[in-house]
Amino acid sequence: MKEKKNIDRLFQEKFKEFEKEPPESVWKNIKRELKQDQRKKVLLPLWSKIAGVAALIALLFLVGRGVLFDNAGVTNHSNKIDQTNTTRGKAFENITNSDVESQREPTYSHSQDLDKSASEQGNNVENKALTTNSEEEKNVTKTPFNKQTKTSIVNNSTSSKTSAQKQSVSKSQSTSSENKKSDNERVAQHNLAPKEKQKTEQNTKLGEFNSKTSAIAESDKSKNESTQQIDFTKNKEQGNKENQDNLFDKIVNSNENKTLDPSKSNPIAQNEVTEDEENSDTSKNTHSIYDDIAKNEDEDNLNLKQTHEGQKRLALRPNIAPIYYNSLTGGSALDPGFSDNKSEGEVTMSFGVDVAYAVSERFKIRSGINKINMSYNTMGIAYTVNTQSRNIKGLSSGGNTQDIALVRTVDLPKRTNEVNHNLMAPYTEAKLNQQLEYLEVPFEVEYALLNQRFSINIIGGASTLFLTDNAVHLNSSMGTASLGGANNLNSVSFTTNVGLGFDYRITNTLNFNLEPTFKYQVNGFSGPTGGFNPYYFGIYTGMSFKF
Amino acid sequence: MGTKKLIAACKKGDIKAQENLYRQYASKLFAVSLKYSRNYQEAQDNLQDAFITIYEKIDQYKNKGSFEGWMKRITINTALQRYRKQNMYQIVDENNIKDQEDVHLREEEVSLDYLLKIIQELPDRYRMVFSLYVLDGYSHKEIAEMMSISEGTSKSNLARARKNLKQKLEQNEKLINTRQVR
Repeated sequence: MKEKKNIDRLFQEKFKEFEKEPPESVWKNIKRELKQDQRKKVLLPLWSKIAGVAALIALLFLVGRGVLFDNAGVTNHSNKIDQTNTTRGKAFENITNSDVESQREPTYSHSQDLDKSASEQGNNVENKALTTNSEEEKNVTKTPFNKQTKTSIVNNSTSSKTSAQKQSVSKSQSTSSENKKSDNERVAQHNLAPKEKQKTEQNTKLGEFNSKTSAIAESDKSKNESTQQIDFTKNKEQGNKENQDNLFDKIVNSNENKTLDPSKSNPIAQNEVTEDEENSDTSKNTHSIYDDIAKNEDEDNLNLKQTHEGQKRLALRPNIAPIYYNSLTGGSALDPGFSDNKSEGEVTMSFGVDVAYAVSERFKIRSGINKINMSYNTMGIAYTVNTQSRNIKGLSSGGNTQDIALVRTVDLPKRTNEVNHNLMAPYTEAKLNQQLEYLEVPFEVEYALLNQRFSINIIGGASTLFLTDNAVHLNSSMGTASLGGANNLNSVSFTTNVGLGFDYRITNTLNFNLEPTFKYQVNGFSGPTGGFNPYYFGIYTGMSFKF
Repeated sequence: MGTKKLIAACKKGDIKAQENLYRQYASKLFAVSLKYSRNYQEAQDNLQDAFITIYEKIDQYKNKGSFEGWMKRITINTALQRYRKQNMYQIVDENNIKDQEDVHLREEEVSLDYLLKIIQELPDRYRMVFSLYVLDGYSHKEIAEMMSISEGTSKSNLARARKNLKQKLEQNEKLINTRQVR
């Protein structure tokens, strides 16, 4: 009689009391191995003792070395510089701020007589030039030793027109200027190369003022053989009127001064427009000269500020990027068993739109949305069709019940006479390809290292990735087989981003961007992936529209 | 010698006690080895390795739970480790897994030796899962943990093992039927 039997029950019943005596050779082998282990047990403590002593000696050596070579504290130079800067900064503040006006008072008396000769018409370039010239003439007639300096009047009008007092002052200043010169340079440099994010207007002004004046000094150095004057020029922090005066003349007369716009460097023209807090009627022109220096700076800053404010803060940037996706450590996200396999990255595309907001001149924050496709291959795979295998952990096949089995090529029998009844079927070499599709929402900050027509920015931030699709394929010379989709992908994951941005300003509203960026994916997969650490590298190109 | 004394003596490395232990439990543990190994020869190797491990780790046995069960577990784990290195990866549709398989056969015709043989002929992973689940009563959760696979894989391996065994049994049944009755 035939019985329908549950297979489980069948086996269970048969194997219930199953016992079998092993051959005696088994015990013999066990015994032999036990004896060998006994011997090892004796040797091992000896070796470990030797190793322990050696390790201790090495440790002592390292510790002793560390103690001997311990450095004394490094002097904090930066503090010093900062202090210097602030004190000098304050001095500069005094010059550039309203204090200038108070300083104007005493200066009137000096140059009042000089400028009196100037025409009473408005302040314009010609006037100024005239004024200067007339000053010269005046000075020539006035003071005898001006004759000697006549030739250098154009650039040295201060010393030429000054009274003996002035000149002595200038001389004394020049002698003590040597030190200050270097200090100034240091300050100037310090101001010019701030990497911190202090953006106080004073500092900005300071930096610009310094850069201008030092630039002026530099450019005039070549023209002017009078070292006295140069030192003089550099004694900015004295708050010296002569200094300012000299400076002003330099600004006006120096054609090769590129740091200042001709229009800007001519404060007279500008002063014509600006109504100032003048007190004295007689010396309107005089006022203007000293005003101008202050105003020059103020207006520059104002202009800058305007450009900054008028600067379109918001930018919209559609972009497209070729993306290279791979793992830093090889392997495959599909199964930890493939962790030793090589992974081959592929280049795919990402496209989207970014929005950037300029918080300050150099600093931008940005976000956006991108659609990104990634693809990579796991190498060293071969496939066959059989039933003797286990599931790929990270793969869910959709209705494909064909028994495709994969094997790592390294595991295949190398010699034909090698028998492994698990690997008997013929195999075909293939690549296991995984494709991923995400929506990326980046949050990044952009800092401008160089901010001219061509600018270089450093970019850092993070992105959130939302999974939208994924697929796994087997690609071989025989064709492509779809294997379904991965089941170990997190629908939300993140990347940390770092990149370098190259911008070219085409017009005031249009920029061209090129941004190579590296993004490392975090939390992309759930479950074990055998150490698959994916990243992608993209070169984001786009045009940004400012408004 | 009582079991406790035997264990204590083995802990000290008494070779006589160790032999005694072997004599006492070898048959049972060899049966276990046979269920998990590919063949008789490999079962012997497995038993050997298992006992060495037992002697090495006997210090860790704290007289909690069955000593025989502890040794049996070691024997099974030794077999699992041997066949752990898995070469083949399968694409499987996890939705179509049959839970039960029935065979039509004459029970008295099927010998234990034959059943053992067809178990050993199973692919390693199928055999492991079948023996663990059907013969030794482990749950899919426990199997997943022991074999570092998912529960789904455990279930599908079991289904395939059953299918495989059923086919063989039915083929064998046919052979028996066509043979002359002796």
